[in-house]
Amino acid sequence: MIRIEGVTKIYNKGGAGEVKALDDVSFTVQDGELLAITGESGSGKSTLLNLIGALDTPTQGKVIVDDKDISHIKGEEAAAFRRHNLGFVFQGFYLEEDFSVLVNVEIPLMLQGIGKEERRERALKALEEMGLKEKAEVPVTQLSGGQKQRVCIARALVGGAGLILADEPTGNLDSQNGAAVMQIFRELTKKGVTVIVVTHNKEHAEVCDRIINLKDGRVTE
Amino acid sequence: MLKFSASYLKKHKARFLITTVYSFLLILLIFVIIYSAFSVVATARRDVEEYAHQSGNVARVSLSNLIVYSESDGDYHHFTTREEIDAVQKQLEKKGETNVQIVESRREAQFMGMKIAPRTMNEEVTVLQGQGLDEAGENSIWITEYAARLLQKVGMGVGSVVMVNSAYEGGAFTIAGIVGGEGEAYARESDLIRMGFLQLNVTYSVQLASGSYAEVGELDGIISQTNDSIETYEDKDRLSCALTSHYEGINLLSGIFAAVLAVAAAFCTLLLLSVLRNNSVIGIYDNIGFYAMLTCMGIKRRDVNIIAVLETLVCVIISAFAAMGVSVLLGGASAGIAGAMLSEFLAATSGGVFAWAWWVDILYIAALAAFVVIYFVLTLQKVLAKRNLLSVLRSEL
Repeated sequence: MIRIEGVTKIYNKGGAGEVKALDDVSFTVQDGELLAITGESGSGKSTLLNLIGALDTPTQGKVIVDDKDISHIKGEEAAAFRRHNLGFVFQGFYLEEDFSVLVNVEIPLMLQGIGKEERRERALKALEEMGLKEKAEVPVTQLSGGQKQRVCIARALVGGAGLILADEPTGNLDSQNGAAVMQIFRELTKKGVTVIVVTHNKEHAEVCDRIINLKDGRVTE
Repeated sequence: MLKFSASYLKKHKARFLITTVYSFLLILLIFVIIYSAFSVVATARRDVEEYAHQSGNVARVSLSNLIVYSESDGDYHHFTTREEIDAVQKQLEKKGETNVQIVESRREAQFMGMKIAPRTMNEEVTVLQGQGLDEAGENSIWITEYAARLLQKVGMGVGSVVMVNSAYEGGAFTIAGIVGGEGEAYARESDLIRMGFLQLNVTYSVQLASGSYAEVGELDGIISQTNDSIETYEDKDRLSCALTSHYEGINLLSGIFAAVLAVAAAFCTLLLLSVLRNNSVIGIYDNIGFYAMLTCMGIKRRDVNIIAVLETLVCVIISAFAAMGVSVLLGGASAGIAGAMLSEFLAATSGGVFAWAWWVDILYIAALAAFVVIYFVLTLQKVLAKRNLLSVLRSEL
C-alpha cells in the first residue's frame, strides 16, 4: 500500500524562483491497484512520481510505501529501496542499445548482485511472460516500439518489484500497442503488483481502476 | 557497484570499437590534410627542378656565387654579384655561343654543426688570438669566440687539429686562431677548394650551331683551366647541377597556401570533433537516458556519474592509443614525412636556419597527445554537465 499524506514539494524555497509543485496532496493506493495520474504539463505529475520513486524528497508531508516511510531517505538507502521494490517504465524506453534484449533485462539483477546463471534464468522467465523469450539474444535495435516497451516491463519486474511506476508508457506507441501495454499492466495487477501510470491518454486512463487528476499541484478527482 | 561497472563496461565492445575506428579516421583525416598542405611546397620545388632539367634552362632565382680559378693569373676569381655572373655569360654569348648555362653548386663544409662558407678575412673579422691570414699555413681554420668556448670544454684550442665534415669528404684542419664575428668558422677558399669542399661545378654548355664546343677567346684561360676542374661525367665535360638556392617567390605562395590549408584542417577537425561529440556512435551523450535509468534501477546518482566517467575514460583511452599507434605505423612515417616536409619547407623559407627535423617529430607527437587530452576533457565536461540526472527524468515526464 502507498500512502501520500499531506505532501508538499517546493523548489527553490525562499528564493526568487520558488515553485510549489505539489500542495498538500493526500491519497492512498491499494496493493494490486492500477492507478492513473493525469494532469496538464506543470501540474506536478512528474514530481509526484519522483517522490513515490524515492528520487526526491517532499518539503512537507510523508510518503509511505509498504509501511516504510521513504520521505527522507537518500543516497544508498534510497538506491537500495528502488533496487528491491520498484520498477520504472518510461516513454523513451531507455534500453541500452549496444546490448541484447536478455542483457537489458538482466541489468537490475546485476545490480542486486545475483549470479550469472540465476540472472539468465530469471530474465528469460520475465521475457517469456511478456511473450518475448525467442527475442532474448536479439539486439534491442531490432525490436518494434511495442516489443521494446514489453522488454522494459520485463526489466521492471525481473527484480521482484511490487510497484511499477510508468511515465507515459504508451506515449511512443500506436493505439494497438498502447492498449496492449495497458492490458499487460492490468494482468500484473491481478498478480498483486501495484501499477501507477502517468498518462495524457484519456482512453488509457479510463482502463485503470482509479484516476487522480492534478491541477496546479493539487488533487482534483 | 564496481562489479556492475566492470561487467557493464566489459559488454561495451561494439561501442569501444566504433569509437576507436572513428578516432582513427579522424587522425587519418588530420594527417592527410597536413600532408597535402606540405606536399604543395615539395611539389613546387620538384616542378622547378624538373623544368630546369627538361628545358635546359636554369630557373635561377638566386645565384650567389661563382668562383673560377684562372691559370693566367693563378688566382681565384670570385664573382659574387648577379651582374658579374651575367657579364661572364654575356661574354660567352657574344662570341656566338648559344645555350650558355652557368650553374654553380657549392658544397659547404660544416664545423660543429655550423656551416663554413668561404670567407675572405676582411676588416669585419678580427683575429683575436693566434695567427692571421698571412701567417697561417695550409689547411688552417679560424674559429669564432663562441666555438672556442665550446671547444675549450673538451680541452681544444688554438693549435688543435679538428675534423671538418662535408657531405662528400672530411678533412683535418688546424685551428690557426680565434676571430670575432658571426657564429661560423672561417677558412681560406683555396684550402676548401683544395680539400674538395668547394666544388667548382661550373658547367659550360657552350654549343655552337654546329654542335661542337668552342673556345671563347679572351676567356680561354678560364675555360681551359676550368676544364681541369670540371668533373667528367659519361665522357662529357658537362655536368648538370642541382639547384641549391632557395625559391623565394615560389615559397611565399606555397607558404601562404600551406597556412590556409592548415587553418582549414584545424577547422575541419574541430567540426568533426563537435559532430562526434554529439553523435550517438560515441554513445556517451545519447546514453544519458540509460544513465537515468540506472538511477531508477537502484544505483546512487554519484555512482552513475562514476560509471559515465569510466565509460568516457575507457572509450577515449582505447581510441587514443589506437589512433596514436596507427600514426606510428603509418611511417614513423606520419611524423617522419610530415616532419621532413615541414623542415624542408621551413629550411627553404628561412635560408637554412631550421634545417633539422627531429624537433618537428616531437612537435607532431605533442600535438597528437594534446588532441587526445582536449578530446577527453571536452567529452568529460559534456558528460558531467548532465550530472543532475533527475533533471533529465523531469524533462521526460
